[in-house]
Amino acid sequence: MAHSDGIGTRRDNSLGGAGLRAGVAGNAGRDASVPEGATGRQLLDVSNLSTRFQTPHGVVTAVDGVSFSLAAGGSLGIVGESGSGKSQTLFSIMGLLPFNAEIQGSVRFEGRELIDLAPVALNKLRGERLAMVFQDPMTALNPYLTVERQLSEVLQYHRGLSRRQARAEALLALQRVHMPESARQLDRYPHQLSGGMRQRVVIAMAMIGSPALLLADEPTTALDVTIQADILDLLAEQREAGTAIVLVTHDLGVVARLCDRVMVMYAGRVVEEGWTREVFSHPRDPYTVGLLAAIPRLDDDLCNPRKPIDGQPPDLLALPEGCAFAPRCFCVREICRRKSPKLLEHDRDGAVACYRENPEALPS
Amino acid sequence: MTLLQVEDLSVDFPVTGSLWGAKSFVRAVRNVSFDLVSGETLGIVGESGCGKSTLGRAVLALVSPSSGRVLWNGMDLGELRYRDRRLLRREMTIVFQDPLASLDPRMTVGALVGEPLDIFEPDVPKQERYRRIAVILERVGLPADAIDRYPHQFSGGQCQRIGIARALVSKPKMIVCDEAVSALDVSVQAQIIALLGDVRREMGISLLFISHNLAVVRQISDRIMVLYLGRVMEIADRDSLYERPRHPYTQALLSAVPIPDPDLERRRGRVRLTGELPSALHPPTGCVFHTRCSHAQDRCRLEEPPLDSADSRHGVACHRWKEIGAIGSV
Amino acid sequence: MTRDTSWRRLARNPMAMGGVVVLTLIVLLALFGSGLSVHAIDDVFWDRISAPPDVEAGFYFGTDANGRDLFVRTVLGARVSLLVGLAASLISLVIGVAYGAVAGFWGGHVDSVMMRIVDILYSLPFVFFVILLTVYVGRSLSTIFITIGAVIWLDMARIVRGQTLALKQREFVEAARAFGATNRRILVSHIIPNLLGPVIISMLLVIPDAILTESFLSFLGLGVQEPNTSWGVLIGEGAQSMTEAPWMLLFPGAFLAVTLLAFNFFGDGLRDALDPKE
Repeated sequence: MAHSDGIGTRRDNSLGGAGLRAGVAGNAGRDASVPEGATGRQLLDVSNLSTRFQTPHGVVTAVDGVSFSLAAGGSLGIVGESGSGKSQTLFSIMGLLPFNAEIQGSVRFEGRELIDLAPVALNKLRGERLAMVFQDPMTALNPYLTVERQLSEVLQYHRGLSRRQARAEALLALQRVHMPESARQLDRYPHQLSGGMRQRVVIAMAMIGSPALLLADEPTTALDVTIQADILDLLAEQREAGTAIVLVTHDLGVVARLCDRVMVMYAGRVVEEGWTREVFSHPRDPYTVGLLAAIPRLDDDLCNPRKPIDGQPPDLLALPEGCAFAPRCFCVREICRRKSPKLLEHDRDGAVACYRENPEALPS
Repeated sequence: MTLLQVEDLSVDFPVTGSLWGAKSFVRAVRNVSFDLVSGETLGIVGESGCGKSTLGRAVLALVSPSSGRVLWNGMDLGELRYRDRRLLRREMTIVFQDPLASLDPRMTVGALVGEPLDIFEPDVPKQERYRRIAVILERVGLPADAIDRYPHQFSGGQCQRIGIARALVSKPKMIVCDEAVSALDVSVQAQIIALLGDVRREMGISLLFISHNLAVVRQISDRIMVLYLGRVMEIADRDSLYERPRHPYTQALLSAVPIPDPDLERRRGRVRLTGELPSALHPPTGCVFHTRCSHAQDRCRLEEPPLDSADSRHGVACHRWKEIGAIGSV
Repeated sequence: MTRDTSWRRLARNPMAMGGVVVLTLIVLLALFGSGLSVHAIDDVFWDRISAPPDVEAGFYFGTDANGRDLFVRTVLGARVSLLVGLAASLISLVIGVAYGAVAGFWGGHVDSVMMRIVDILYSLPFVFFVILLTVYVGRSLSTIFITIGAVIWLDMARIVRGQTLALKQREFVEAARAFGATNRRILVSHIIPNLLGPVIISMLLVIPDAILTESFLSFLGLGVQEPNTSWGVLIGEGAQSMTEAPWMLLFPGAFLAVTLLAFNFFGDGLRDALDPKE
């Protein structure tokens, strides 16, 4: 592994060609840089998605009119803090909501509507075309089955392989996720593996069907930073191989590393969306501005101290009228407190929901 | 003025062995030494299993060391009677990771924050006690009416402020912050870091800031110590560590931290680690890090490296640090 | 969980509130019921042996095999049963909580020894123990208190010890210790207040247990003596005349069943209301 200079580094150049074709926000589903031959239809088209929960304390609108689309092979990062609705958006797409949830809007995957899709059809889709990776690998791993058994199960179910064939495939799947000592790990149980290794198994399981879309909910949050970097590289490899990724995270650095486009959510709504590079260097929404100014970064100029955002994360049971961020906003105006601004596109292939940017962003 | 001297500290935990008696030990902390000067903030970083939390508790004598000493103002904590050690808790306090769990749900904020006063200054008249609590609550950014409310009525960030208030009320000389901001939302983390920074400057308090988040540690620490499997890998002044890290592990850590700048991320190199974290029950021989180090040689497998001085304030525990050279993180 | 939200949650639970209402009525009946009845407890009516209810004549529940008014005897029975329940729960509270808290807090060998003693006492055959005691101490209400009390604290001790062990691990106890709290302060200010919830609930569930045990003892003839009566005695007598005079079993049986249910619903409701997992 060591190079001639004695330093064991490797340069990562991961701007795969497929990544550039990520999608655009808004109901139109317009594609920014459509190369020749590509169809206008997006891989994933979410339109006005809303998810409400009936709780003993009242109705909680976890996802409020979220729209975005993703082209094949693209990568989107959904960023937010607690109460932003980022995870619930993902669960809504996958159909993994509890019984007290009410979902509205449309989620079209490869042209098919996912909401209210029959469970049998949805199951077939999940694992073959659509896969999900969670924060805690143990939500996907059965503690009573060996690694090999879990992978084989997926292979036998989705690809109809025999037990012996499945075992061989399982080994290959582990090797593809760079599992150290993959042959040995096959016969181990999840509790014998470290967190990073478990997550590799989960990714292996997810990738077995060669899905077109991988949804990841904070997949590296519970991992050590060096392991996180390895897992992110692994996900980047999948992306380069053509799998589209939607990654939910609170860590802006992770988004910068893995996602070409980013969507910032606050209190269930999208407040800003666009190319990662553009959003991070020229944030337009005050929340995005605040976030970028507040979080500590390794490349901070310590002479200019970080500036925290005032106030606390929103209480979804008691949202203020108007813009949910108004109580904490440094440039709040009269209208902000009365009506919540609409998400409007801007000329740099992105969108923002703020009156400061778009004085006419009145909701319909 | 040196407040704290940790000398060759080791902490072992017994692991219940098999039925036929053989008991094994986990060396959570091994031969750690460092000093803390009045007013200074020392950041202690590392990943899981590095022993940083255990170290924090050992410094506060909440956990007994198996060998080595902790000296507070020159006094060996291990030699003190239980009673005298307990009295020192006025001077060294702690802020925990989980904001809500460290607060007794059945006590009011006033009772919680006032508990150190009740313990160490029971003769303070009621009004004076109330005033001191109110003052400290205000200092940490909580409203005065919080005194009669209960922790569950507050958000995570506010609960952490309560915890900080409790840690400040006895006017301590040192506070151990054990992952004090890790459980908070990122926008709130910044508030709490700013609060801790302001308060320690104003009140001249030393902080032992334990965290796995290198970017956060950089904001608040004067010096940083990097731990791996219970041992010190590197210890240096902040700028020295972040700009010229010399230990391969530190280099790997820093290069792994993602930065919110897509172009920078693509340009950056990454120092990769091989293999997995070894079990703490069977740590590697020689340098504990050798199983994952791309520079490892035979010597590393056989001999544990001492903490060498790169310069007067920069210590590296690596046989080959001179050849490896310092690699910047960005 | 502040007290107010807990009470509010309890108030919203219809079963629990129903239990509270029923219990209140029964207590009132026990206290003042004899005022409602026309007859005294030991008035014998030779012409009305095992007679069915006759509201105009004042025999609301009918009469028993000795011609005594069943209504007034049921009321008296209520007094005895509730008294036993209350006494038993107080004994279990005082002895059980103290024992369990000490064992749990001390931990280690002390805890092991103390809990083994509980295990041994638990495994003693109850009836055997009662008979022995009755032989030596004689049959009276106090015997009942002693025998039931001697057994009922065991459960409470186990529960309190378990809760104490769990509380010891909680981070706020570690925090108190880190801030210099003495063991005494931790036990008194942190552990005991946090035990209140489970203890109250256990007490509420101990009462029906005690009443049932007393009924069982009286059924066997080992309990309350004439002319005193309890629901257990009444049920015992009623069971013998079940086919000819079903009301003799029906009324005391129904009262016992309803009271036990009420305690259980209230106890369950309280447990849910105090549960910190909102």
